[in-house]
Amino acid sequence: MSFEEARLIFKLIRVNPISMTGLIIVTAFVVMGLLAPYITPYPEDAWGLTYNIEKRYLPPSLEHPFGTDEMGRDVFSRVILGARFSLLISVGVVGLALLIGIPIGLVAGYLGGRAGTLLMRITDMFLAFPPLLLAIALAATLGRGLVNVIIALAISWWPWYSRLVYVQVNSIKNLPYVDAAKIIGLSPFKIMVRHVLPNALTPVTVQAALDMGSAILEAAGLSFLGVGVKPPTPEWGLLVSEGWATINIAWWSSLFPGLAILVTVIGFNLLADAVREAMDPRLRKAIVMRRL
Amino acid sequence: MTSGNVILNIKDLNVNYFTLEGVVKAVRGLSFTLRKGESLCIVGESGSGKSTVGLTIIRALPSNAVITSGEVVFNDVDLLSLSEEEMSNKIRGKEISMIFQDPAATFNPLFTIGQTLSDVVRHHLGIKEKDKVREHVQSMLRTVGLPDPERVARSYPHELSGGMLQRAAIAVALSTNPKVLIADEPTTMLDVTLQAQILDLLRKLKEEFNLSMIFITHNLGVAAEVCDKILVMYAGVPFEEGSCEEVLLRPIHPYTKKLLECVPRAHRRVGRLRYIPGMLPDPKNLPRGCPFAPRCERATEPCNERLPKMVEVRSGHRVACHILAPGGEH
Amino acid sequence: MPVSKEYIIKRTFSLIGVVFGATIITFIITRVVPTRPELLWAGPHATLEQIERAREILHLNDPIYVQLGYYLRDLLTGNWGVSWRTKSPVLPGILSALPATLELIIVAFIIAMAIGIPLGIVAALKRGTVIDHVLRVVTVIGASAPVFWLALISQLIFSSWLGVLPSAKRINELLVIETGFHPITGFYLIDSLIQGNIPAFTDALRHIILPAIVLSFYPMCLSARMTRALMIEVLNEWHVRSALAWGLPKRIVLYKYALKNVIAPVVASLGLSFGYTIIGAFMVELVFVWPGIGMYAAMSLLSFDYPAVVGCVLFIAIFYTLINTVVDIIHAIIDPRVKL
Repeated sequence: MSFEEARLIFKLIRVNPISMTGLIIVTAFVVMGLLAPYITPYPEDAWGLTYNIEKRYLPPSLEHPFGTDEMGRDVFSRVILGARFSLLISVGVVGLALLIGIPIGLVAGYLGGRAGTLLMRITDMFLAFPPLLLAIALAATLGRGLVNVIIALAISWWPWYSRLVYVQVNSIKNLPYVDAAKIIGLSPFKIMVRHVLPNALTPVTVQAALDMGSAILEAAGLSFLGVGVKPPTPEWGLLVSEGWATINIAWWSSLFPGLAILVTVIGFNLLADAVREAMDPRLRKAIVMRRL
Repeated sequence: MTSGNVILNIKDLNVNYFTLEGVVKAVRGLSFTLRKGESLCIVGESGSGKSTVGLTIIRALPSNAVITSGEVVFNDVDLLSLSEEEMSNKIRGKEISMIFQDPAATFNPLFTIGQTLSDVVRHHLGIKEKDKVREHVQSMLRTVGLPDPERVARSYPHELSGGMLQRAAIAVALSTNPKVLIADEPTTMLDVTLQAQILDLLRKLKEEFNLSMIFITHNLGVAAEVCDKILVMYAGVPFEEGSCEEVLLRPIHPYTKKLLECVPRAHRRVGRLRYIPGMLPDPKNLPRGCPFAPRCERATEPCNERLPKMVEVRSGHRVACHILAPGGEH
Repeated sequence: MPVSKEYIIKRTFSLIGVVFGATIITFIITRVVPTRPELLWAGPHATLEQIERAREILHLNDPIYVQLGYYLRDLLTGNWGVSWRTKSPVLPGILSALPATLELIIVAFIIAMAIGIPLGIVAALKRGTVIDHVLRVVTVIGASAPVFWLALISQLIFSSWLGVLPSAKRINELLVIETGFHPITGFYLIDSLIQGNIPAFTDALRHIILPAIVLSFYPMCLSARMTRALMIEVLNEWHVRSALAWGLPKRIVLYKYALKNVIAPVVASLGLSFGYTIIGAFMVELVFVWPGIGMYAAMSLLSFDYPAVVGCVLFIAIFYTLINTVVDIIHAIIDPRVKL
């Protein structure tokens, strides 16, 4: 993506209040994730290290905006710190998936032939599983834990990226400049990495950044099913699941962490919509039409 | 001009498109008349606004187009003042029908030719009985020279060739016995041999159905073959209008002359193909004066200042050029 | 458009290939990835003896390809291991839970299509208006909400607080005894109608509404978004313009012609959203104590019942591939351009 294009996309996001909301939510989420340990009102509560019997099941108040849970911990603090874990998981999953997916897609697309077909067949086998099912199987095998969640999700995730890169590379590899590089005798590896990859990278990285919302959602699902992060990690899905047992006494301890997931993922999805629309020239016209 | 047999009269038409990059003035100050049984050819390069004219007449412009002024008078009724309802029930497809450039994109890919054709027949002719609809469908397909009409009716668009689809499209357009047919580059996407066949067919059907025709093309050769009258457009502006012979044999406008010089002729050996130097002006950023002025060898001061006005030079031969008529429009 | 025999045969072969691939991947994940698979298979509280038995059942003393052979043989003969949570074989356990899940998912899909597609059309036709923006926000929420949270919150509101709908199970057990309702097909809505048992039908309907709506939310929003996007695309196609130019009224062009172009890909996308929905069913069934595969799988996961988990993974992967094949064939029937 050129600088110009990025600027146009930003301009189109700015004129649309809905897209702008998405951008603000995502920015807020990232900032919260980075600063979380320093801005939680009750840091010990946030890490889940405390047990305060007098403060159990307090409804939302000024002191505890999201109330307290069955252990007397401040839910607000736990939700804020949860942003850090969600950010960590989403960046980890998407990053690792890119690390696996891009080389496979690149090699399969550039080499083509039998080897390429075989690689893509393997990719398709992974895609034959419903989303999350493979991650569930892996997480159940590896056991609970932050790193295991990231690995499990990334391994069910990379095939999407290798497909995307594969398609891109296939359309790039026959362009004249690649032929020119071949004629001057560059090695296939050099052509692939230096000349084909950079041009295939934009769509997949944009897609990956926008997929971070889904990663948060799926990690939360794993936690809810008991194969996610270990308690007392304040991961949002786990917080919802922990609050479930006492939902009739203290609904707030499930409601607010879930709301945090919802709002964050909405932010990513709105942003994804905006970028997708902005990158589609036909829709671009329509967006401006709406403003006229 | 006897208004009695005038069927379609366009008066001072202006159409704009609103796009991301700005406003495109697609048609500027276009006027012409079409008489019964006459065929008029609108000739111009791509981007000259000629296709917009056709879509304006049947009011099927894309949503970002706005008709800023003008009238489209058909049988003494201004079509631009009709409601959408009246338009689709009485005019569009019924009185004025249209065929398009890309026959493969003209038909909905999920419906057979017969389904589309019988829907049009049912809607406009009000025939209810299945047998009668089928009969009409088959006879129309036979009329446009399609062999085995039964099979064609049962076919999906992707199962037929471009030539067959264009014939089928003509069958649909003529199935309601319209008075005017607008053909928007109907042969551009076809092979040369097929082009000739389709042109022949249109000529034949024009007599058979007593049609008036507006034929939109960028190809002067095609224009010469089918038309009584020619209208030359450039960047949305009409430049020259007259009978086929007048315009082709005694062209006046410098653009028409250049255009004719570019037509390769088999009997004349030319060293190389001719072309007009320069490019069509950017439609979002048109020059103030005559849009052809930047490419015109004979351009003078007023050409860059004002848009030229159509002036009748000989009987039935009108030209818009400052060289002939100093003054022009303000 | 009739689908040719060759297409069915070709599709069946590719189906077998994909199922084979999926079982191999499952084998690798469950047998090769763990350093000591027998610990997983014997469960968290297993005795040394049980672990040794698990080693035998898994043939862990043999080379890996022999293990694979045994694995495939067991798979084909229906010997999918024994759940140590329920102490019963896995495959019959899954199969007996299948109708409950199917009923839930089918009802959810009916709701999703019946609401999602019309909403998408309205949004496309009213593009850029308030309705379109509201629908956009709603569909984005649908794509973003964690389904287990939706289930919890809706259960809290409609069952605990308002008390208008039952919170768990498929039917009231008392009512079953009183009215003599007995399952035939396993689809309670159908069974109760067959028996003419209206109270049981109403009760089953009341039980299914909440989980089905929660489960339908994602596919509903997905189909609404897809319908909107496709409708806008189709409306820009030449064939829509030519149909209008030939004077077909707008309502025929939109609802007969353009709609068919939209429905075909939306149906094709059903397969994908089915994948999301069945995983969503894990969580929704767990929350609503719905005795289907989802609850079976979720309970197995929560109690580290590894053989049952692996059984569910295999079953769902195979089932999902099957559904996708059926959806592809339906798509081919709707769209004559799909190469058969």
